[in-house]
Amino acid sequence: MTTEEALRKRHAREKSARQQAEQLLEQKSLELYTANTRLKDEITEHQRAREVLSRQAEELRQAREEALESTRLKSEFLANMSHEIRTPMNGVIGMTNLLLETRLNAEQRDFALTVQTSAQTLLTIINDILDFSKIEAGKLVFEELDFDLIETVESATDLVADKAQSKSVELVCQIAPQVPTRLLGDPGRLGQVIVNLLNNAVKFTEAGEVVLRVEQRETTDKEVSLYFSVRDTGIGIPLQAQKRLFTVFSQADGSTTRKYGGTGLGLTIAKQLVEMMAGQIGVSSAPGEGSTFWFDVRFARQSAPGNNVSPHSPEGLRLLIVDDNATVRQMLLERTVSWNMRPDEAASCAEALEKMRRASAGKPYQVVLLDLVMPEMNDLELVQAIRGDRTIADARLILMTPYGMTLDEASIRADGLAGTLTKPIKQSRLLQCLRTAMGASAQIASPEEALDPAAARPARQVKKYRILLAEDNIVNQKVAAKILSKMGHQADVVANGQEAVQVLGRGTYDAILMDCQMPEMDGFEAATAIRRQEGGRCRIPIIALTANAMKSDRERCLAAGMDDYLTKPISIDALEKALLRWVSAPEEQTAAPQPTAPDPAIAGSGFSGSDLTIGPD
Amino acid sequence: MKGIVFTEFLDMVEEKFSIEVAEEIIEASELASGGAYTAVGTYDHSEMLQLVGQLSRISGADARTLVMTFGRHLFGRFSKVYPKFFEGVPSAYAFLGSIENHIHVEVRKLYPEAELPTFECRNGEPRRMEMVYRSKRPFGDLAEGLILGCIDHFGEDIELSREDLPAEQGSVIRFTMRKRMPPQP
Repeated sequence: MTTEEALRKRHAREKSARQQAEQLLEQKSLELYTANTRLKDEITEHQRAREVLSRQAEELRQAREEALESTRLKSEFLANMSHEIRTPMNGVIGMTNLLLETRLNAEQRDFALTVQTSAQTLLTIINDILDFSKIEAGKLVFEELDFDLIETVESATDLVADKAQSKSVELVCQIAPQVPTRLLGDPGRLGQVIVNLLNNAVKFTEAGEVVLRVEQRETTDKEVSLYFSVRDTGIGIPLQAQKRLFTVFSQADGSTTRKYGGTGLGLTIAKQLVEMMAGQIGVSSAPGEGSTFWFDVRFARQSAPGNNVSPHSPEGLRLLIVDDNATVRQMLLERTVSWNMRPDEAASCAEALEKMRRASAGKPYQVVLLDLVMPEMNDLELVQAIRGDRTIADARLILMTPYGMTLDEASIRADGLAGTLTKPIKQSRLLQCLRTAMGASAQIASPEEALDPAAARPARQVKKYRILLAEDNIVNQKVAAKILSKMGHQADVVANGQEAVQVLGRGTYDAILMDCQMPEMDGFEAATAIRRQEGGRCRIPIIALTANAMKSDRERCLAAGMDDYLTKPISIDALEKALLRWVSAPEEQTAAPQPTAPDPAIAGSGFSGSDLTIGPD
Repeated sequence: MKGIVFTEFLDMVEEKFSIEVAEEIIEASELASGGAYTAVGTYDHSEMLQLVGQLSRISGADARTLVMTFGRHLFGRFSKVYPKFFEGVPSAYAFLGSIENHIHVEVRKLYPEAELPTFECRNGEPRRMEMVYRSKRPFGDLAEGLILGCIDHFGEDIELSREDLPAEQGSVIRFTMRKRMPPQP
């Protein structure tokens, strides 16, 4: 083959290869174009899908917001219904209380008592539901008040004492001695959590004890972290059910609803309140071994310094604590040791006698704290045994009585007791009782009687006030007027704020009870008008009455110039305390000149005390 | 078989022998493509076997030597045509190790129809590497030449040995490489 020939062949080959390559290129280009078009289509499709998705997401978001809003509106509606619901309840409870004070035969009394209990139960349920709605509606506002921890905890304990006593369950309130007590926060809400947990514990405990303990965890100069636990010896809760306990509308077991009753809201509310106070709540329990509910919360300390422990405690006091319940003994020991006393304990009457006799040779016991209910020997036998033994007869005896039982003075004297203490034992009461027993050495009295003004309520109330009641609801007028007249006060009634301001211009009153929501002129406006009228010359106490249990109302009342705030249904106790607090001990009220009667044209629209025909005065 | 193998082969024949020899072996072979190859095309591998056979006949050199020589040459060309595959690859072992999981993966993206041999690598001891070549086609010699071209490219002192393993069809060959210790100073 010649070179020329080879080159020609090669040229032909190259040409063919080029054509082939061009064809391939064409084909690849087409493929690329197709792939590109397909990609574009897919991208468009993706974009469309994404738009659909984001539209759906938006729709979902809206639907969710609508659902939330509708829940909020429903809760808000319920919260606003608070006023409407409480007003008739005030009528039912108030009138039933008054009815019970009239002359009734046994059957009538039984009916009325049933009405009273049912109404109280209903009120508790309503309060639960309203509280829950308020929390759901985000309407619950926490207060920042100076409060005393011991007072708050002990009065919460008192609220369930009756129920515990009726089941013979020992209720013990144990506040560790070092816990700081002057705190800043919302005592009402704290109390509510404690009451809810205590109520729950008492409800599920048939025998034994329910112990509330308060301990301090971390503290700084500014803050205190407190750990509350409520331990019971009740039926216990299976592990599975524990998880559901704090969820809305659920109880440990569906059947417990029927057996034990209740709305199932108590623990939910407690949880929500604790969490709103930035705390945690929980439970540990085993079936048959009881449960311990606990929560922790932080409180700020009060900035103003104060004394935590009352001064003048009888230091070094030799004390014997006699109680068959170990928790009660431990609580009393811990407390009295913190007061620098020298306590001993005895679990039985026999042990008590033995210890007293043994101590008589050296350092005899000065005071014996004695539980009224001891298993093997009744208290009177022990008292007699002590009195009968010359070596120990000098010890002063203080009797611890179950809640709701009061010994009359005669039997206290007859037993030669230095005092009585109601269980669950309050710290301040205990200290006062011990002090009185030591101080008023020979004098035999009931410190309880002497120290608690509320305990002696009906008999001691001698001061007679003239009170102006501004209230538009006829039933509530009747209830309040009747309560006041029962307390020995005279009440003039007007139906709105306008009338109150006018009447006040004409008469002299010791205090005004002012409903907040009234037609024409509401309580807030009226209070403002009255303060303006007074011009700072004098200041009549104005106590607000409201069915609206919103705490934020308190600020409104105070801002309008009112002095205090009572929530309906009116509790006699609270009303009396408020009057005591705000109406200064006057010059002999009975001798005071009678103020002029209000204009009948104005007062007539209301209900005046003298119109009452229900029951004897 | 990819067209680049054919175009490179004919280029080598033209260069090492002559244009006439190249035309002669094409003429003597019965090629479906007529010998008009383009690098991006795909052709039957038997055409390569015929071309090699004819070259051996004309030149008198044995086919195995020719194919191995071509393999060595081809690798050098690859390194110029596809520099991307060499970026950041420090050694012959590293390059050979990357064929199966990197280079062939990329090749398949471009030419989904390509029938590629597999290279299963095993690094046992430090200086040693074992590579098992599996192909439906009898191109073990080409593979060997390519490996040698790779060793040339990285300028390393590596000893290559080859063991043909029994195969039902095509070829299975174990290549074993040993890197020699650099002479002690």
